[in-house]
Amino acid sequence: MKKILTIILFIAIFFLGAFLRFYDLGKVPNSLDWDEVSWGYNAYSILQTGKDEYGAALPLSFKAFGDYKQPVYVYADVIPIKLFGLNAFSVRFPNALFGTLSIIFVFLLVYELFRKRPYARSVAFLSMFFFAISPWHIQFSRVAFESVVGLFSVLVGVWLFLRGHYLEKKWYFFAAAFFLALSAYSYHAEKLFVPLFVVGLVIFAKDYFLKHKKLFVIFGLCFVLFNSLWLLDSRTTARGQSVLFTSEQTQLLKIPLIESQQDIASGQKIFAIFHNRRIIYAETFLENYLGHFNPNWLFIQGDLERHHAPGFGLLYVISIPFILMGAYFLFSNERVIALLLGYWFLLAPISGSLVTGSPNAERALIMLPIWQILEAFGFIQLIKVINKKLLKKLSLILVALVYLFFFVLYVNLYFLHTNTDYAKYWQYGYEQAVRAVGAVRAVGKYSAIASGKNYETGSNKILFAENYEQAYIFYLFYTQYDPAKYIADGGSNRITKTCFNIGDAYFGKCLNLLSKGDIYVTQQETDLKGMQKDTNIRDKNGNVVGYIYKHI
Amino acid sequence: MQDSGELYLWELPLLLFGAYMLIKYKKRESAFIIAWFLLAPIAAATARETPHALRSETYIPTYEIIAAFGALGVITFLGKFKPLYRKLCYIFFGVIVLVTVVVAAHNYFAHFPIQYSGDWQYGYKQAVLYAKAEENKYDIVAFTQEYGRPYIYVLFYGNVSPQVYWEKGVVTRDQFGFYNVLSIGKYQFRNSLVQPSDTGKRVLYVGAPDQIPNSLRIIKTINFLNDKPAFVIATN
Repeated sequence: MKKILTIILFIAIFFLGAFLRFYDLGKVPNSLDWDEVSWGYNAYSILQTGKDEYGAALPLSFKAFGDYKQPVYVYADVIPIKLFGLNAFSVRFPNALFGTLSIIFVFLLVYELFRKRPYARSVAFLSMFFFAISPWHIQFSRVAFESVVGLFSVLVGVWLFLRGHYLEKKWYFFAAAFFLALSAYSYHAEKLFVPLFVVGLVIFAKDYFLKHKKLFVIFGLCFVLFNSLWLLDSRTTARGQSVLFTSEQTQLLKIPLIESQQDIASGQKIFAIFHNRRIIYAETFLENYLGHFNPNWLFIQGDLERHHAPGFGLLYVISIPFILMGAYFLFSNERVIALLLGYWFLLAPISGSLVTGSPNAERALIMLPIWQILEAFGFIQLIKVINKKLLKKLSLILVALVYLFFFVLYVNLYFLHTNTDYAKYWQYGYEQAVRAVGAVRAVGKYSAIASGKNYETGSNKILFAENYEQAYIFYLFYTQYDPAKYIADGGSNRITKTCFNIGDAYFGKCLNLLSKGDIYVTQQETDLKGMQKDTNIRDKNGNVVGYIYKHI
Repeated sequence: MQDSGELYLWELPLLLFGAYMLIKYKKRESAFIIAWFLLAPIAAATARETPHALRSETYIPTYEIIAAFGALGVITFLGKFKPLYRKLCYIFFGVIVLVTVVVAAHNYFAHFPIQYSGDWQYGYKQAVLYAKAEENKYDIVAFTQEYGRPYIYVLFYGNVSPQVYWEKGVVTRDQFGFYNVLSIGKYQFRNSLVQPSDTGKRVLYVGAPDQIPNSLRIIKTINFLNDKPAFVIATN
């Protein structure tokens, strides 16, 4: 009976998590941002031609906008695009899938960690549940942001490692090394986190490795070998360097420079060393790092609009007491587990702290599921602490109601308000613009919105205004432009900072090329000379999201 | 101080450890300190502009008490070490504390007044004294509202007697219940500095740098201590 209940509970939590990740997938948020479109088109290009938008055959690093995207997400996206076509649903499908599967691995990992304790199962179930309803994880599972796949690999890898340690089976360690290394091919943040965390895992399992020294060497070699492919690829490391906060040197060191000059001028030379750039960098790093524990960021505001639901933070406010209790009791009752999880917890923000725009919920996603495990452990203590049966039941009901309140609030804000409040942050309107242009070209007029207005086709150019950023990739994506043809014409290698074209579609600073009858598509109204406003681009609800002008 | 927090960085581990100790200690005193710590920000949380270091000053001793608890814990913990290591730890920690305190004091005394003179309304005194010395030459002294509540500086540095202020001050009240002084005698406090009604009159303008149109003749510029312009004094 108990076993059946356990299975039912497991399935119920799993489906709740799956529902939250798959419901209206591709519709909430209601448009793809440029990175998502880029993942999608590159995957489509791989599917059709085996090459990326630049014509590189099966690359391990996708140049995309010059940010050299990691390969796992692109390849993971090939099958969904094959099955469901090139659309928002299929582009986001891998994350929803791996995000949902992560729920299972949170259970397995926590269960393995607390093995042999009487409360192993309850902590595992609660962690799994809190993870399944986590606003932070749901946010990224429903969009094509590669961090979710990275976290998935880490969860699987760590679980395999712990499992192998318990069962004393060799192949688990090989599989663990594979998945742990794979995470680095999924997301940049893991490149720093995973190698450092593996050191902690090895120390955790030191007794086992002392008995099996050969195995340790093989595990280490495998891990290094699997990681070497990206390590030796200078392009990926260059991307890492370009976003480091030290790249904003001028801004960062402006005031310290003045201060050190003041000290030298006033004869207090000794103090000038404290306005040194190394100290400023250390301070900036610490500021970024500690920012990851800022309750305001975690529970109330979040960071970028694309990283949280409108008016909701990354974690539930009600979790605060349980997280604190969990941290306290884990540290005093389960010292070894606390050290391992604490190590994970303290390492997780490091990658994000080295770069500009910190804290960033996506780069810090690897802090999950520690928050949830702490919360679960704290929750167990609540149940344990209250002895009187009636009081226990009453307080549990009360807490459950508060959780329910925040959960419903979150679901409401995310599913109903993301599309209205944050549409512009998801580059809403780009799709409509491309489709409007497509309609113009197909029938010679954009009949749905501007009946009777005829455009000459064939000879006329279509220029996307510069206020559509990276418009070319949206154009390729939404016209389902044939990748083979695109690559044959030079692919994305032809992109310049000035003006370039894909067939009759022009991008960048091309205004001087326009002549009579050409079409200009823009997000904002313009009073450019020689342009006559022709029609508004509207979305399904009739809102104006762009404008079509005609050169006269 | 804008480039450092309200507490020393080395207090952070002590605070965490102290909080842990305090909870573990489970005495009435712990509950007292924790309650104090949690209740202190309530008043400030209901106000605008939070967190605000001044309004949560009632906090301050709780942080120090908790950190002291942590330090006590660390000292107890170090008791297990050999005397030599213990001494080395004390020296190491002592040096960190000494250096950070000295650096914080240096920053406070040497750089804070210069870098943030604007946040302490530097320039008002100089501007008011100048206007006072020259006021007889003009019909109107137009003072900018850009830096907030100029009238009180005019009253203070201008040594205007309360009697005169009561007689000549023109005052309104805004939606939040704050008083807004529009003028005192020939001193007028303006949001938009230059007004059409000024034509034909001799006006001394005391404005922020971006408020002075090219048509005016600039007489004097008063800078903040970091050399950025604070007030530009001009006439028509």
